[in-house]
Amino acid sequence: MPGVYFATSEFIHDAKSAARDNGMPGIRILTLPAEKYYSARSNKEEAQPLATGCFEAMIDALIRPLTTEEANPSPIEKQREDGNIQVSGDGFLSAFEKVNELFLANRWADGLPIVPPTRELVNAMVAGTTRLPQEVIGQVAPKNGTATVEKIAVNAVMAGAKPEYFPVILAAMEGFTDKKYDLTHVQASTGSFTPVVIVDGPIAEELGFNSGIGMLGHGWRPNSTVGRALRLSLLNLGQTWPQVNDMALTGRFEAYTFFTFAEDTVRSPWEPYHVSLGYKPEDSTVTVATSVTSPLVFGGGAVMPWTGQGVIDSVIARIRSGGVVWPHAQTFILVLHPDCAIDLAKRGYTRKSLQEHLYEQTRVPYEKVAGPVFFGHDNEVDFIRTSIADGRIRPDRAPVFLEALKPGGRIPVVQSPDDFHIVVAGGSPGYDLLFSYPGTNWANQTKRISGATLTKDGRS
Amino acid sequence: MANVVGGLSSADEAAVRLEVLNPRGEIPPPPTRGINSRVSSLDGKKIVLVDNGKFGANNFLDALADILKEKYPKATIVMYPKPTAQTITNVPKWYPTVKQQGDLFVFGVGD
Repeated sequence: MPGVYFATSEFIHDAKSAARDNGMPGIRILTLPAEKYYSARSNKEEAQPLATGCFEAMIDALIRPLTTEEANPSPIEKQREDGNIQVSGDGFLSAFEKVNELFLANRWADGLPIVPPTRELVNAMVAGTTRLPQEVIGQVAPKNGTATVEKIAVNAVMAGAKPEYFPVILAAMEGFTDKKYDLTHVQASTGSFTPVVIVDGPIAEELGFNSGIGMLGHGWRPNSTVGRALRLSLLNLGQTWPQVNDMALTGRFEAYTFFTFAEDTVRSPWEPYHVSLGYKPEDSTVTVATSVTSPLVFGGGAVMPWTGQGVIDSVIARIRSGGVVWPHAQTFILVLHPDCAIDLAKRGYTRKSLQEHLYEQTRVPYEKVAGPVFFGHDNEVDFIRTSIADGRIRPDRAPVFLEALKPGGRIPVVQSPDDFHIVVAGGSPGYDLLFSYPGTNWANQTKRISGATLTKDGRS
Repeated sequence: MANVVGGLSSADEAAVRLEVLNPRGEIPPPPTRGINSRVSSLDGKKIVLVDNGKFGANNFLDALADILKEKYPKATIVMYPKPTAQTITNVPKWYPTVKQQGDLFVFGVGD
């Protein structure tokens, strides 16, 4: 079916890049001037001059016969950037600075100084795992670059990670490149999604990850450099860059290290998060998830009184006030500081009963969603029915939603209670955090850490 | 004495040469495909205006629809909104349904 695409001038590089990455470099894409489009799009009358201005170009794109290249594009060559690079300087400082300038000019770095990834350092990093250097971990969106163990090691060296952290980094990259993890969305979306990286199991303590006060801040090399190694790996192997094909409008919160922390399994009153997923307590795992913007913060910290029930009630009220039931519902990661979790456990909550409580109490009344027009549908109810019909709401959960789509009904904001992921981390005193993203678990993967050579844990 | 990291110094004792690895990997080339042949005229055709769900795309496409109706009165305009602005889960199943709606499409607005 012949057609033409419109993109604004701020997105034209992204659009053409995506077309080429997916093997269709000849797609006809027309540009709308961003400085005019974003201010004019709110009503048809203001959009009219833009439509008039591009009309003839649109007709031309629809009827002008194809060129030979458009009809039968030349094969795209394999892109290889695996050569070594020689950099010389008058002294070490000069050479170090030149490496950094070169890497940033090539868009291989994040703006902070990097550790030059020499062969010696990369070999030392690879020695932190039993996995072979040329083993392919996966393809990294959006450009589908091949992530081998060695290439991830190069980025891990750049980040300043220690070799003993490397098995954690590899497991996390397995998660990011899993086909069930929508990495394209996380890497490229205007939603400015920031990955959330959670380490569980004994390796967290062995490596010295922070799960207490300051866990999302600076000062702990495992948290900082594991997060940064992943950041650089995704940047370089996915070949993204702001304003080109990374369209995070504000940039990402925690852009350099992502939200990287460990669960406090010692003080948690419940089984560790990874055990709740079916792993053994002696396993070590890393979960990669994501978050739209930064987390919401609940609780009183050190200054205001709080109770566990009060925190949960606040979380529920905040979720209900959003009022929107996305077509595939949402995913939440609730990080409770240990004192809060302990208080909730004393009140009789288990992890599972807390998930079920959140699921039930956040349901939105039918009357609240039956009215407004929503994303081209007559109303949100129509939107939900469509989502059930085309499977975006899972068939096993469809009966619950169908039952709720009537006066007096209460529509869930998640597809199942399991979509409230509960993790215990934070200090004493502490706050409680709610990460969320629209959609159901399209960015949640947990992988077991294995192949470690330099730690007691994570070996098998 | 020269500082040497990862390589040999040059004839100048103070000079340092660093040999570093490229952090990027290979990109397997995708199979290429051409785009579909064009129509010779819009007269009598069914033109599908695909709203990608982003804010304001409907207003721009509505404005285009008005001009199309005026300039091509023999064409039929079909407004076909994408069910969600998001590209996740089962939306790929929706794209083939665009073909069933008409003869050619206009998709917007990528933002």
